Amino acid sequence: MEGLLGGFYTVLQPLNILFCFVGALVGTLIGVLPGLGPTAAIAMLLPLTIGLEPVTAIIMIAGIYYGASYGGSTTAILVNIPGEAQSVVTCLDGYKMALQGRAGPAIGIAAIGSFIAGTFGAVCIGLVSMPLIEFAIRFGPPEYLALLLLGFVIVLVLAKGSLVKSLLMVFAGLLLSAVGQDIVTGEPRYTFGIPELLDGFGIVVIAMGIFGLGEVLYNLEDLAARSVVSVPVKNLLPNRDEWRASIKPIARGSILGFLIGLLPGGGATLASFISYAVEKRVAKDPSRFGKGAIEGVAGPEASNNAGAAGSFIPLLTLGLPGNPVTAILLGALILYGVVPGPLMIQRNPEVFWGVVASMYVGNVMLLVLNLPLIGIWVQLLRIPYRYLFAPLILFMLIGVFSINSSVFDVWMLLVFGIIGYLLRKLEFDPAPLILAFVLGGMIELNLRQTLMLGRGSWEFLLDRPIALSVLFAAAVVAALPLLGFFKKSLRAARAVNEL
Amino acid sequence: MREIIGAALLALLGLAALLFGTDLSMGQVRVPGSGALPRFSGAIVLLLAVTLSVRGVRALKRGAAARRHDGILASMPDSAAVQGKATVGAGMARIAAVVLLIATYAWALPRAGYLLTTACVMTALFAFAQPPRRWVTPVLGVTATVLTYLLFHLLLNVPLPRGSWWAS
Repeated sequence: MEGLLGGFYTVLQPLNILFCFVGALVGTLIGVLPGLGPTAAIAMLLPLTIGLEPVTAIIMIAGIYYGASYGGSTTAILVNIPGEAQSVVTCLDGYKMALQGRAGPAIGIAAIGSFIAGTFGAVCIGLVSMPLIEFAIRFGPPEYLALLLLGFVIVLVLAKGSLVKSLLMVFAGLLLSAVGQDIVTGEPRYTFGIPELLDGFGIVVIAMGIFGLGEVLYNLEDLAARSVVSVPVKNLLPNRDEWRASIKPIARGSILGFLIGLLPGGGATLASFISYAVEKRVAKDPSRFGKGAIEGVAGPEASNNAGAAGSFIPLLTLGLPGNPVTAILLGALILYGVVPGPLMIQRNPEVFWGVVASMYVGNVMLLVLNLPLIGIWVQLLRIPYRYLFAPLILFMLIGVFSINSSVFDVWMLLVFGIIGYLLRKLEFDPAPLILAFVLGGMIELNLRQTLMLGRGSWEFLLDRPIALSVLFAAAVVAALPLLGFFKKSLRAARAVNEL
Repeated sequence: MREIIGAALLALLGLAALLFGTDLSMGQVRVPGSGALPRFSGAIVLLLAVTLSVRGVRALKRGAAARRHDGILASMPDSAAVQGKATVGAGMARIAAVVLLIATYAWALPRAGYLLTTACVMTALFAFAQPPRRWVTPVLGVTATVLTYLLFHLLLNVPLPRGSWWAS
């Protein structure tokens, strides 16, 4: 609790509050644009944090993240276009509410539900992290290797689309992670004599290219097709009946979302879909869902926020990202000289607790500042996309240049932008690629360290009880699709990811 | 068809990883070398890409057979399809032009400097918006350039290139 209070003390410094506000504002600005969600927003806006203190930078990123998520929900409700997969489910009832003239309460309950779930998530992170860190402190390379393998297995089992395509993305990501100097011998790999490649590709360049520029290029295919908002927005606060109907879905969504967020590959998207399914199942009249039921907005919105908070736990305690957003955040933390993992709380307690507290403050920021600004976001949604793509591209170009003051990074942004566009066009999900890229270096390092520790013996991995248990869990998860009992639910979970 | 194109591109990636990784040491099973992970990954990518392309070819054959079964009328293009193709063609041309503009930007940035390069490329990009009045395009381009210069250079202290052409 002391640490959390310290985190709040750090976050509530005027400068940090200012950057959190700026982050929430520009995050919403990007998130509100149809087709661009939190992953793209963080990747695109990360360069804005260069030169800031690590804590301030992380606080700003939290603001960007929550702002972009909020912006995505607003677009889902008003235009029926989700910024990212996590807002897909919000479209179902949110847009119907908007068509019925209830856009205000839909946006209001999405923000309030997110705030409650975010608060719950921040408290849970504080409670769960400490015991997990004490446990994780005993982890060595074999345990990390086993955990990384478990993460990959879960990502593949829940992967969107075909398993072959997901596996291809994973191994392509591993290949990308191999570019640069070998971490053990220092031997250059696939650098082709280009000095800039010795350090490998940067996560920001790849993420910005694939999720940001790739998405913008994809949207350029049909400029005229971009929808603009046409529904009126008034009375943001839900009435008494809407409150009564929403409170239980928010509570359920918060708990469920947090637990799902802990899973690698889980996070906000899966949490929102499962919450929607649960709400529909427990509803007295399930036929209302899909026709403007406020529970269909409140539960999933709370759930995706709690899921986002839950997904921070593996990152902060073990240094393992479970989804693209946390993968980019891991890259950002490393960029600021902070290495997430069990030792982070000892080495950088202000950053650790700052991240936890900033999630809460980011949510407050949305509630007290962004809700009153809804008129601006609605106006922004009225601007035709053909005027917006050029500033977005410029922001990415200058942003990627500013990280290392390198024109080479601008070229790489273009290359990964084209790759991102092709992946989108050819229906390949880039999420496993980004995860594999980030985790690839860790897998290789931990594998080679494990073999060094075991003097070349692979059995060493099996001699460690924790590693063995995790590997057993990975084997069980890998076998699940083969068991008839789980086939149906897995198919449902994959269908959820498919949307 | 998409699967086949994707598989072909990824097969090239796998093949390139194997070919350009021949100099890297594989090490032994007990002590993997620097080339073990990338060459292993390259081989798996190649293998999976071949699997995907075989699947794609089979799906294509099934599709062709189904079309033959439905009769020749089904494959005749209607006006909507022709119009759709025209839209796709315009979209692809737009993407190609934007890619070319970004490449020009990357080439010109260290030479002509931030202000000139950005103003020119942004004006060209805003031209796609086809504003009602022609003079709006350069105004938008220059405004975006000045605003980002103020934000990144003056506020965030990012050193932006002045351009080697003006160095002397």
